[in-house]
Order: sequence, then C-alpha cells, then structure tokens
Amino acid sequence: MLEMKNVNFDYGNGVPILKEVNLTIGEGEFIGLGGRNGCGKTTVTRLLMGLEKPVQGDILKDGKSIIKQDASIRSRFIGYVFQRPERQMFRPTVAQEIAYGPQQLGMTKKETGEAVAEAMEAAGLQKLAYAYPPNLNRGEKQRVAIASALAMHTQYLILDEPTSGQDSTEKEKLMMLLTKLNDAGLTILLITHDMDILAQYCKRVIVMGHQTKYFDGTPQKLFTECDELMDLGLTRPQSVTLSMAVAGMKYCKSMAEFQDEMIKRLGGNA
Amino acid sequence: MIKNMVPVTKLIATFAFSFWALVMHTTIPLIILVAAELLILAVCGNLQRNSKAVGSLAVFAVFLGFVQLLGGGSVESAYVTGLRMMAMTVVFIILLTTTRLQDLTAAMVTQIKIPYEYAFMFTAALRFVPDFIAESKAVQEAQACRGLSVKGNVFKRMINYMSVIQPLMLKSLSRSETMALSLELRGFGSQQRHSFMSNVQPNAMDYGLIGGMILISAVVIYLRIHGIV
Amino acid sequence: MIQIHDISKLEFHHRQGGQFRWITISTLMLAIGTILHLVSPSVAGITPNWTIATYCVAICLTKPTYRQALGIGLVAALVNVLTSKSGFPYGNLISEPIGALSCAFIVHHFSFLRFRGHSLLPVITGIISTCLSGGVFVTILKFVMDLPMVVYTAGMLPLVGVIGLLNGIVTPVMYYPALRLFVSRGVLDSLEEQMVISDHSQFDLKPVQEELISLEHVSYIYNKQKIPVLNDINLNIHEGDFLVIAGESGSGKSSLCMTLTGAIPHYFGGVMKGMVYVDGKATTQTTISDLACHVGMMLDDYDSQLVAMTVEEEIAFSLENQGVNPKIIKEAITSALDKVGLTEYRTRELSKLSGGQRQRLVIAGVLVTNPDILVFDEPTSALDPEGTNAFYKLIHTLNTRYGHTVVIVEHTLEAALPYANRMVLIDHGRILCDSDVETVLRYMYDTHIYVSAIPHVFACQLNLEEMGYNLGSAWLSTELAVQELQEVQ
Repeated sequence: MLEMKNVNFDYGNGVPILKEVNLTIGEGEFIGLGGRNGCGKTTVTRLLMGLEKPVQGDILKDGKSIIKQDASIRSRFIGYVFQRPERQMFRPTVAQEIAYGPQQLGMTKKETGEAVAEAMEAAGLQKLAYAYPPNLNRGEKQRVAIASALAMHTQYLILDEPTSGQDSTEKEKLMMLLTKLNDAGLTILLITHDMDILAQYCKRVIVMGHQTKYFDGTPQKLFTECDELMDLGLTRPQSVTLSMAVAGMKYCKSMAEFQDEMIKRLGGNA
Repeated sequence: MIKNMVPVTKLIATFAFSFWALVMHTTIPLIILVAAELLILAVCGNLQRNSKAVGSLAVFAVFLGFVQLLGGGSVESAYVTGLRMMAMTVVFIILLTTTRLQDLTAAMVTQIKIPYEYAFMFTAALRFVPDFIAESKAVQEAQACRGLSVKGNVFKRMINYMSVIQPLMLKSLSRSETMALSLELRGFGSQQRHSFMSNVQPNAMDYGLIGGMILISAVVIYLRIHGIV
Repeated sequence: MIQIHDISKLEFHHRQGGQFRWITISTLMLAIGTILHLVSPSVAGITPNWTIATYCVAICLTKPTYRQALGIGLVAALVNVLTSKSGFPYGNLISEPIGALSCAFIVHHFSFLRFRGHSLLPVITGIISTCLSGGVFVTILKFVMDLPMVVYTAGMLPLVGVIGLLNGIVTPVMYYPALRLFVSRGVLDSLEEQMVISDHSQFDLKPVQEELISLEHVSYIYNKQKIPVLNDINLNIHEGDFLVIAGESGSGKSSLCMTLTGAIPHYFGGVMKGMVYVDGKATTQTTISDLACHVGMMLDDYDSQLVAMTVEEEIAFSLENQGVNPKIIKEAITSALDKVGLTEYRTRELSKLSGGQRQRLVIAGVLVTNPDILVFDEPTSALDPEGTNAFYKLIHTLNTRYGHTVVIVEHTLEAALPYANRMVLIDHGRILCDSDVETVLRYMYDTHIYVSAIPHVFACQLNLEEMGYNLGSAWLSTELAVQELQEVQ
C-alpha cells in the first residue's frame, strides 16, 4: 500500500502546487488520475516515484516512510512509464533494452534472462525480441517500456498518458494489456486526459483540482454526480453523454455497453 | 553608446583590445587596459550578469600567473601573463553580451563573408541547447526510474553516463532527416542572396571609432618600440 | 515543346536528396557536445573533450568535404565561445578547425581500416584530432601568454595526450549507436546512389482540369522498395477545401503529402509516374522553393522544423532564404503572427514557449510565404484534447476566414471531421473513396477498411443500423447524436 500523508509541494517560488494531499493506493487497484493541465497530477506521481521531494508531509509504503529513498531505489517496487518512451531507449535489441533494469538492480545473468522472458511474454513482445527499438511504432515502444518496468518485478506501475498520440487499435491493445496485468495483481496508476479510458477501464478515479485531491471515487460517481466537471477541466465520456440523453437508461461505461443497452431499448436481441 | 555600435565595430574593437594586450608587456598599462574593459562592462549594465564568467576567467588568469612563476618566470612576467589573459578574454564577454545574436550573424555573413551555412549551424546549434538540456534531465529521470544510480566510482559513473548520452543522442539524431527535409522546403541554400532582417551597416560614428582604434594601435606600437609599455 | 499523350507513363527519376544532411547532423551533434560538458563526470577536472568528440562523430557519419569540415570546426569554436566554455577564444578559433580538418582527412583516406567488421575511424579520429586540436590550442596559449617551456612540455602536452585517449574511448561509444540508427533507416548508403536525375523541361505539361491541385495517375516507388507506395492516384483539390486524408499507417498518406510540396519527386529517391499540377504548373518542372509559395507543409515532428532562437527570426527564415527585402519581411511577420494569435510573443525566445505555442509558431513560419494550400501530417499526435481543439479551431479560422485550402492527414478523425468538407480514404497507395465525410465513413464501415478509425459514436449508429434500427441522420459528433436521440424518443 502506498500513501501520501499531508503532502505539500511547491517549486520554491511561492506558488503552491499541492496543499494537504492525502491519498492511499491499495494493492491491485486500477486508478485513473485526471485533471486539467497544471493541476498537479504529474507532480503527484513524481512524488510517489521519488523524482521530487515533498516540502512537507510524508510518503509511506506499507506503513514505512520511503521519503528518503530516491527514484532508483524506489524502482524496485514502483515502475514509471513516461509519456515519451523513446527517451530511455538505447540498446540494439528489445530484449537487451528490457534487460537494462534488471541489470541495474544487480540481478545475475540467469535471473535477468528469466525476468526478460517473463516480461516479454506478459507484454506480448516475443516476436519483437530482436527488433531495433527506435524503429518500432508508438504502441510497440510503450509496450517495451512497460516490459522494462515489469522485468524489475515491480508491484506498482505508474503510466503518464500512455495512449496519447495513438490510434484506436493501439489504444485498445494497450488498455487490454494493462487490464490483463492488473488482473494478475499489478497495481496500476494511470494519468490520462482520455475520459473514455477513465470510464471504461479504471475502477477508481482521482481528480486533482484547486491544488489538492478534489475527487476520489468511482468513474460512475464522477461522471454522473459531480457538478464541477468543466471547472476541473474534464468532460463526460461519449458513452455517458449518450446514455444520459436517453431517458431512463443506465450508466454506460463504454460505447459497447451503450450499444447493447440501445438494442435492448429498441426491442431486439443483443 | 556601446549599444549603438554596429557588430563589425565591436568585432574590430575586440581584436584591437587583444592586439594592445599582446603588444604591451609591462604591468601598469595592462592593469589600465583590464580596468578599462571592466569599466565598459559596468557602464553597459552587464557586470552583474556576467560576474560568474568574469570570475572564472580571473581564476584562470591567476592560475596561469602561478604557472608562469612555477616555471621560472619573474613576478612581473606572472602579472603580465595573468593580466594579458584577462584583457584578451573579458573583451569577448563585452562583445557577446552587448550584441544580439541575429545582428552578429548578419554581420558575419554580410561583412566578414563567412558562408551563410556556417552562421546557420551556429544559431541552430544554440537553439537546440536549451531543449537538449531539458531532454537530458528527462532521460536521466527515466533511467533513474529503471534503477540507474548516481553513486559509485568514476568508472561506474562514466558507464552510467553513457546510458544517458546514448538515448539523448539517438533521439536527437532521428530528427536530422526531418530537419534536412524542412530546410529544403523552406528554401535554405537556394541560389538567391540571403537577406537579413537586421541592419548592420556602419554609420559615421562607427567609422570614427574604428579610425580612433587604428590611431591608438599606432600609438601603442610606437610606445612599445620605445620600451614604455 | 513535346506533347504528352499518356501522362500515366511519364516517368521522373531522382536520387535521394539530403544535401543538408551534413548540416543537420553536425548541428545536432554540436548542440549535444555543448550540453555534455555541463553534466559530464570528471576526475580532478579532467573530462573528455566533448566538443571534439561530437564533431568527430558527425564527420565520421557524414564524410563532408574539407570546406564543410572547416565550417564544422569553426562553428564548434564559435559555439564554445558563445556558451563561455572557451577559456581562450583565439585558441579555439584556430584549433577546432584544424581538428575538424584532420578528422576529415583521416575519414577520407583511412576508412578502409576495420577491426572485426567495425570501422576504426572513430577511435583513430578521436585520438588524433583531439591531440592535434589540443596541441595547437596549448601551443598558441603558450606563445601568446609567454608561458615557460617546461610547463608546456611536462604539463600541457601530456594533458592533451590524456584527453586524446579519453576521446578515443567516448567517440566510438557515441559513433556506433548513431551509425546503427542511420543504417537501419537506410539513410547513409544513399550517398552512393548513382541514379540519373530526369529533366522534364522540354515537355508541354498541362493539367486536364483547371484546379488548385490536381494529381493525374500518380504512382511513386522509392528506390530501395519493390512495391509502389502510391498507385495510380487521381485527386483534385478545390480552393477552400478542408480535406482529411485517412488510411492505415503505411498506406501512403505521408507520401501523398510529399507530392503536394514537391519533396516527391525533388527530394526523395525514387521514380514518379504521372503528374502533379499545383496552380496549373507541373511539379517536375518547378523547384521546391517555387512550390513553397503555393504549398506550405507542417511535418509530423514539428519541433525539428524550428531552427531559430526567437519567434521573429523563426518566421523570417523562409523569406530571408529567398532574399526578400527586410521591410517586407517585417510586415509579413506581423501578418503571420496575427493569423495564429502569437502577436505578443514576437521577441520571445523559443525555449520559453509551450508545445502548443511552438506548433502555432511553425504554422506562422509556413504562412509567411503566403501559400494558398496548407498541408499537415498528423499534427495532433503530441497534443492533449485541449490542445487538439485549439489547433483545429485555428485551422478552421485559417480555412474560413483567410481562405486557405487545408489538407490534413489525421488518424484521430473525431477531432478533424467537424470541420472537414471532404475526406479521402487511402489504402495500399490507392484512393478507395473520395467524397464527403459521411459517405467515406460508411464506405469504410461497409468494406471493413480502417474501421477502427471511424468515430465510435458513428460506428455505434452504423452497427445499430445494420441490425435494422433507424436512428435519424448521421451521428457525426456526440452533440449531433444527442440531438438525434432526443428527437427519436
């Protein structure tokens, strides 16, 4: 379990970014993190990862403070997938690239080999094991970055806008991969601007606003009961807007669900 | 007044001051020269901003003076070495902080006849420097999240540094093709003469100053021949 | 003038361009060398000389002429002086060109030296150029500062040797990954292409229809490929169009954009058949420069199009290259800034702009030559939803208020379709459907081509329609769908 207790953060120039942030991430959760640009959502993940230090407050793992551990130490249990994964790639093949993390952690050659094979299988990269990373497309690069984190046997995985710039098919593939990993026990924290992803895949949504944690609950609650969506820089997912336009229809978290509901409505079989 | 000087005048002034520093070989005149340069820098309002650069140049100058002493030179020659160093390098700081980069490149191409491609490479390289600095920080963070630590002996740190340099280099080089195409699409290197937005033609004041510097150079040479400076 | 009866058989051959590759690679490497100095680990203040190492890598990769190498050395020295890395500018201004020239000399004469299949050039140039450049530098310093000989021989020269050895290590470490990158993209060996470049000046080429842009039977195959990337394309673009080009990756969308700007056939290496007419002129009979006054393009990696330090200089770049009068340039800048809404940023430095502002700056740089047609290749891939909306609002203004014809390659169709009047579906180099948005989307659905790009709301309606339900007019956006749903009830 990861916790942030009473965390305050600013860059030292007097402009507060985060005030009194309290949040708990339980194991096995699939959390979406949203909010307008500059609301502090990326800062929250950076604080959790150890890339920034809070000005006040504490960060705990399973009850013990980890605030003194920097990112390279926290990488043993938290993985971070950046928005632009090509920034970290420099090895000649995908397999060697994924091996970088385990090697930095000091695993033996045998352990590294096993970890890499497992990670590639989990991310569906077996066919690309000998591919040259800079020439892969965006979605494949993201999966290599995810596999690189998985190979380090992390319990938590933070992803910063992993689907930005990708087309529908790639987005779906990526989200299915994350769902599969979550089902297997990996805790996922996903920063995204994509409302459809928040609704369809995330089981819990945290919205940052007004320099603190403004909303923490299910996507359904956010999109149906919260009045301040626009204020927080959010919109409704397409499926929710459409289901709300039909009198008496239940909350639909995806277009597939909406379609099924429409079929029921119009009196046919699904 | 310095701000109204055209770049080519300032370039000539830079060489003039350096020339005088070379010719002079006694302490007092060199002290006057360095003081004059620092005064010019202060008058332009740039002393504060460049104090760090001036400071490190001063340290290097003192270091050279010591080297001179250790190597068997006299105390006077040590002073001369240090002061000459200061005189020849502070003047570059004056040149660079009082001249806009686009004016400098315009002068280099139109008046000093440096080919435009070189001037372009110069400004383009500088344009990428802030981007790459940010990028190198981002790469360092990404690798830290994969377990890269900054501790360890020098060899380990050098090897770790490679895992920051190589991704940075690969990402930047993968833009070189797009950049080359973009240059062609924007007419770079076409046969027409390249025009410049900046106007760097010298006016009467500039010619006057240049004339003055030639005069002072003649005086300095004369004084040197007679052993005064 | 020779008449052409069957335009689809007329060929135009070209070798891979890239005469400025040495400039772009050297520029990027020098910038990297500059920042490496800032964060390099060191032993007692001794570090490899990153400037020399990076220009050696650049010279080994691009094999420039001696004149070009001299320029690289000179620029390296200037960059050092400007970023205050130079302790003694005069020394650098002489030593770096000498280092670069020696590197070029070694590259031209000793490239046969290999060890286990790998070139030894980076190691050799790393050591020798550094020692030569460093040696010249300390020699100049010694004579100008009148330093004692013993310091020179026992201190400075050995130091140069040590740094030379360090460079002999870091230069190959940077060179081999870079070489691998370029070889994997097939870029460098194109220098050896011996192809003849066609000349169409004696042909009388006129378009069949008078349109803004017309493509007649255009096919294109890259030099190293076996399958054509464009196959018998026929397309007419009318004034004021807002055209969206859709297709899977690799279907030929980017290549189609390249034909509009003249990069195909004048920049890329390959054979073009058929003809592209821009404003009545055949592109094989004009140059890329001339076409830039009609067609402006924003490439998908827009950051690599930015080359200047301030907003003003960036926008002025294209006009300065054409030798336009400075007064006219200043007016053109004002008008371009006005169109994209960046007027108050005129003298701002590039590094202080946000991503969305930089993109608008690239657009301004394209608008300044007053092209009628604007082409964008996947412009929103790096933007968030807010940025995407702002971008399309701007393009819509340019299209409706200022009359520019817009061609956009996009895979997030939801964002572009509200503004588009026309759409084209490309698959494997062929245009399968060219019509209004709804017709093309339906075509995609019916033929199962690129179905995943159909906006999900409309796809849902199409699914329901297929099952026999009628839900009113097309749900081309969420708002329209809500309207229709409320009416149907």
